[in-house]
Amino acid sequence: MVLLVTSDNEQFTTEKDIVERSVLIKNMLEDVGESDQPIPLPNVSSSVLKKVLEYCEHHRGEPLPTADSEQSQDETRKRTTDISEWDQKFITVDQEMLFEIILAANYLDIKSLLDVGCKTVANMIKGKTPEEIRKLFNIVNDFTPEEEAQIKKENEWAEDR
Amino acid sequence: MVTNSTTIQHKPSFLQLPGEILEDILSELDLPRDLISLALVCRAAKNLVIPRHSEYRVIRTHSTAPFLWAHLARRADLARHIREVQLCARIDFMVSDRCPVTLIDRAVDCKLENVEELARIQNMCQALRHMVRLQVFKWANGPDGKGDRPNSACEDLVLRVVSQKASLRHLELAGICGKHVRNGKGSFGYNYPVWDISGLLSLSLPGSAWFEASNVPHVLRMLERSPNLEFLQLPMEFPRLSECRFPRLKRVKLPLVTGVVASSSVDMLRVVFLENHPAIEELSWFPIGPVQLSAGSLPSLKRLMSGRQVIEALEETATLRFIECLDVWGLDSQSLISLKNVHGPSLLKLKLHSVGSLESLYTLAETFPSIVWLSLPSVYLSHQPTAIEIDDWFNILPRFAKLEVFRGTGIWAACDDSKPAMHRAIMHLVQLCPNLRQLDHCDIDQKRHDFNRIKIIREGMEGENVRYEVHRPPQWHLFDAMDGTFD
Repeated sequence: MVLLVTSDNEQFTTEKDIVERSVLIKNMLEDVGESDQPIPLPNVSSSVLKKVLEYCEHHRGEPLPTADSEQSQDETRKRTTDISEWDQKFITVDQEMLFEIILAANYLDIKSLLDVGCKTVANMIKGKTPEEIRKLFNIVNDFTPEEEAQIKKENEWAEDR
Repeated sequence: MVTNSTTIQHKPSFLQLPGEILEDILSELDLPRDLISLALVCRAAKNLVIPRHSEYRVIRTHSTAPFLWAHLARRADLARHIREVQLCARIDFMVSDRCPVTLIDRAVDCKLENVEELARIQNMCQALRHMVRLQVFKWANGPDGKGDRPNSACEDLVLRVVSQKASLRHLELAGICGKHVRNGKGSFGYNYPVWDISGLLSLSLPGSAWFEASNVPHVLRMLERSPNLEFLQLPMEFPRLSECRFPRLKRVKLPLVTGVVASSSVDMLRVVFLENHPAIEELSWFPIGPVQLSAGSLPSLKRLMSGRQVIEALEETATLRFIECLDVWGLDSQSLISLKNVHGPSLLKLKLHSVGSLESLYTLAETFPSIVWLSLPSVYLSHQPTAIEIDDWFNILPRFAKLEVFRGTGIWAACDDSKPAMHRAIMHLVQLCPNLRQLDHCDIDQKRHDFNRIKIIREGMEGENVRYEVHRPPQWHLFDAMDGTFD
């Protein structure tokens, strides 16, 4: 069993083969060897770690991404083009939690979870107008009308795609 | 300075995500349209998108582009975003070039040594290896291959890399591609890499190499590897097509390449193929002789470009056809009206090459009330070809109540190609046809061999202010069996 401590000092006990989906934790465990020492995760809050562990538990036993030769990258890409039904349901969270999961996946080095998070954000952007994207992410338009017109003019070709 | 003693929880927001994560998110956006929408959000988003992503989705070039390939071979971080590579024939002006410009390092990429053919091909292969998300690949060398003809070994090298792309979904190999292949073997007896390609959704093999008798079994084997094909272009001369089964095939183009197979037995084999593919919605096929289709043939057909015998064969099946786009050579207005099995309200786009009488156009408008796109000749054939006068046009076109696009030079001819007269005609027509938004111009775009377009713009609360702009004809899209006819 592995003991994890979150940024808000909550402790999580989990099994090694679940948590080893995180390359960061896997490497830490390998460095430390057999130990009862808790692993501090100062960049992950308890609510986020709970979600991350739920993901790791569901995907327990699945092969981890291997060496990054071109062929294996291609195959990984092929496998992960779409988000699975379970992952989609899992990642249906509010925007703040979505970004927190992405940050945690990046920090903990869980490539497949990071992929799911990034694809989800990309899917949120797809098909939207600039104004809809601003509204989605609460972003203020800081372009002058001339700048905006210039970008549109220079990229008219993209409309055809 | 007074600070609040409570800790403010930092909430992550989209643009505050770390750069490498934003890069991963942007990498997931396939379409340039989505990228540009994001770039238009704010300056920070623009800086993320342009040019790192906006210039690295589609590569379309008519030249050998040695510096481009050197650049992409060197910059795996940029090449990995590319989804589409189109190497167009020099004489193909139906599409414009689209290549990265901003980040090309002239000192590093534009070296003379990169122009050397072997270096260029090696760079091209390396660049293609970086493109882990490549979905579309088109290679259409010119028919004579002058200047940019890669030797067959180079072709094999490039296509070997392409054939290893698990992400590849859409492929067109035109021009001289495959010409050196005999008995399925490429240069120096290598297995031609194209035969190994699988998992395609669109495949276009318009050249004559593909129906060489010794290559046919290999093409068939390749086709079997892509059972989910949705678009297929193969020469009409390709034998054994009737053996293929693609349950999802929706768009088909069967061009006659050499014209030497002047036997209607070839038509029969196509008929079997078409009857075996009930999902076909779009068909471009000009049979050599008369054809006969069974009652259940082509139940999903929506877009048809063909000779008259196909629409007549469909009529013979006594099955109601819900065709949306129709371009049938040799079919005049009166014959079309007399077709009992073409469902009138379904027809949206119609290109007629021949008009029997003005009255037939009035009936046509009544029979096909949903037409939004119409192309008509400038004359009708009563006893002899007679020009349609401007008042006739003012009488005919408003009868097509939903008309948005009118193609053809008829109105110009009625105005004697006079621009002031045409201006008056346009301004009158926009009142008669409230939805009209496009007409043909009288000037031809010399490169695209098509008429420029007059785009009508209606402004104001109720579109009361009307002006128009002249644009060059649009580009052709890849894998369009209709060849851009109904743009």
